Amino acid sequence: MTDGKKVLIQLDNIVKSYRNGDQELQVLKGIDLTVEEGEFLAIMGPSGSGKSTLMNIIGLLDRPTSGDYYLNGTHVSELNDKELAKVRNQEIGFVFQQFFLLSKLSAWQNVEIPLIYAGLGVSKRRQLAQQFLEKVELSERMNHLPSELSGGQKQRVAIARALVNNPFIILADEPTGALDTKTGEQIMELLTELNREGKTIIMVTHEPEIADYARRKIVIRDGEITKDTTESVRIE
Amino acid sequence: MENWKFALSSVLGHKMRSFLTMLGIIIGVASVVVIMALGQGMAAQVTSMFSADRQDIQIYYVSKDSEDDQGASLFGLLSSSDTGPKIQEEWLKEIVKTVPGTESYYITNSTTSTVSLDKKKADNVNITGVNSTYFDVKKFKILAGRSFRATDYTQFARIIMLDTKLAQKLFGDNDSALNRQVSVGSKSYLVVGVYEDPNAGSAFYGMGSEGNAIMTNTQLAAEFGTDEAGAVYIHVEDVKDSTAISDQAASEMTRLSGVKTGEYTTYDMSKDIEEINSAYSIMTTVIGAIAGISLLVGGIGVMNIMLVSVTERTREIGLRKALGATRRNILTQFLIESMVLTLLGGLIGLGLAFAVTAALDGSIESIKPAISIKVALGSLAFSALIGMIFGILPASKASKLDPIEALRYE
Repeated sequence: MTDGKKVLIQLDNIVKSYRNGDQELQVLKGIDLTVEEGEFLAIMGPSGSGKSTLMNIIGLLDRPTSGDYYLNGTHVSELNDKELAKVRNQEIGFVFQQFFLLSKLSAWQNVEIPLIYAGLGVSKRRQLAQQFLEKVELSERMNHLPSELSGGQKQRVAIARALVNNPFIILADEPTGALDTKTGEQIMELLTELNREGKTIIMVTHEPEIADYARRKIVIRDGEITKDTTESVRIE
Repeated sequence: MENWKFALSSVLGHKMRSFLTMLGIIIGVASVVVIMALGQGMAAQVTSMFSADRQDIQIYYVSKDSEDDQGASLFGLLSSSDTGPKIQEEWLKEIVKTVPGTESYYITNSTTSTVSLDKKKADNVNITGVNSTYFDVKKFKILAGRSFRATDYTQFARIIMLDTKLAQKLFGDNDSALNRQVSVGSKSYLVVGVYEDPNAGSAFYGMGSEGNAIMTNTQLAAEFGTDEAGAVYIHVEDVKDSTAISDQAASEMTRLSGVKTGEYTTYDMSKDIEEINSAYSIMTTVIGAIAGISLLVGGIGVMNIMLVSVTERTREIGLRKALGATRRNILTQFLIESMVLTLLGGLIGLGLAFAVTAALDGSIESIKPAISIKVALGSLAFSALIGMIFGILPASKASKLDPIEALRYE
């Protein structure tokens, strides 16, 4: 696995459990996972397997019950909420199944949100938002509201938003789940292109065809990684 | 900045709901500001009413044995029994000549009597007997006929002037009163003029009476057996100098009269004005505070709707947190939104208050309600404060939302 590339994510014995009355439910039972820079990883598994919980922990939206998480060399388990917000803002870009665009804001205003929290000025924000909308081929829709965009266009706006702060990692949670097959393929091609340019992409999906875009697949069952395969040559 | 813009668009995005929420603030701000404006109008009216009176300083005699009564009120003074030496008109002429800032003087006496024309009569008419310089000072509007001449005094003419209210009551209009006879007491008097007193209607003139009339002070003294100089007044040029001139004029009067058993003095009304104004300001504050309760109620309404808004926008909050918003960012966003809501309400309420005061202007007897800049800005600042206070709970609830729960929220 180690071919000299930088390790971006290192999970050591990550456990997540929920207490329900006097019962303890273990959702993740000691996950060990290492992701290197430039990987395209698909996390698969049936619903209830714990893949979403793993995704939330990787995305710093949730904290593990025990275990260590190193992101880009930082021991993030030790960070407080404010520091976690900063890491989310700077180093992680989220893409959601339901897009989660704010309906009252135009496309570019949605894209600039992470930059607001990064503390950039308005002209710089507008310029970057425009630049990344161009990258997802939506520059002429800059001033459109989400309601005036198709599903595929919405997801591309969301991808522009995930990219705008130039993060190390894109976390995509069922990015094609709300799209038809053809649009889904276009979105996957966009993500593949981003990966080719060097972005590390971690994607949760339950669709094998979608997972096929990734070079490495892991399967989670009952809170444990049951399969971890890497294709030596990507099938174009 | 983004927060303010976004808050404004989010408030305007639910126009009906925002307006209904603001209504409490609107009504609260409007009523407090209108009450303040009325209070200031009343205070201004008291000051201006008294300043007309204060331009005419009454000089009166206080005997030494009644010095215990020095603290007596303006009204108590009128019942003083020792009236001192007979006042000479020359003293007053001398005072006007020697004391700087004095312009003129006048002498009056007065009584209350019934004025009748055949079967029509007016009770409790305030009849003022005046000397010949009275009209120079008072500047009455003569609506018909004339005022008194020097010869009227030397001839003890039985003539009378009616104010327009009385003339209209007895004769129907001003002109038909001229050269007619009215009965006052046991004798009949010729109406030579009808006048209007610009100060009529203020509290000290004609309260409960059916009108005012003017006779010569000499005739009134003869008819009703009063002193010719019931009251003497020095008229000053500028009301600001009243207090200083009062003392000078009074001591000059004492000197001129050579009286030993007492002295002449004046009554300083500035303390009364202060007292009345402070009573008004306490009243205004109390009523204003009661009206201010509606601002608190409005604030609770704002808190309520902000809690609804936080619930509705759970997913937005979750998303913002995922994209890097800290608790403080979310807290600020919702605090600002709540402040924008109440500040808008405050602005509308202030506008409403301006409209109401404009409508009230003149409708309540000679009170001019005035909204000061201090009250206007204060009311806006207070509405923003209400928004902040009642925004704290919803905003802190929003800031504490768990991003995963929030994103999963349907």
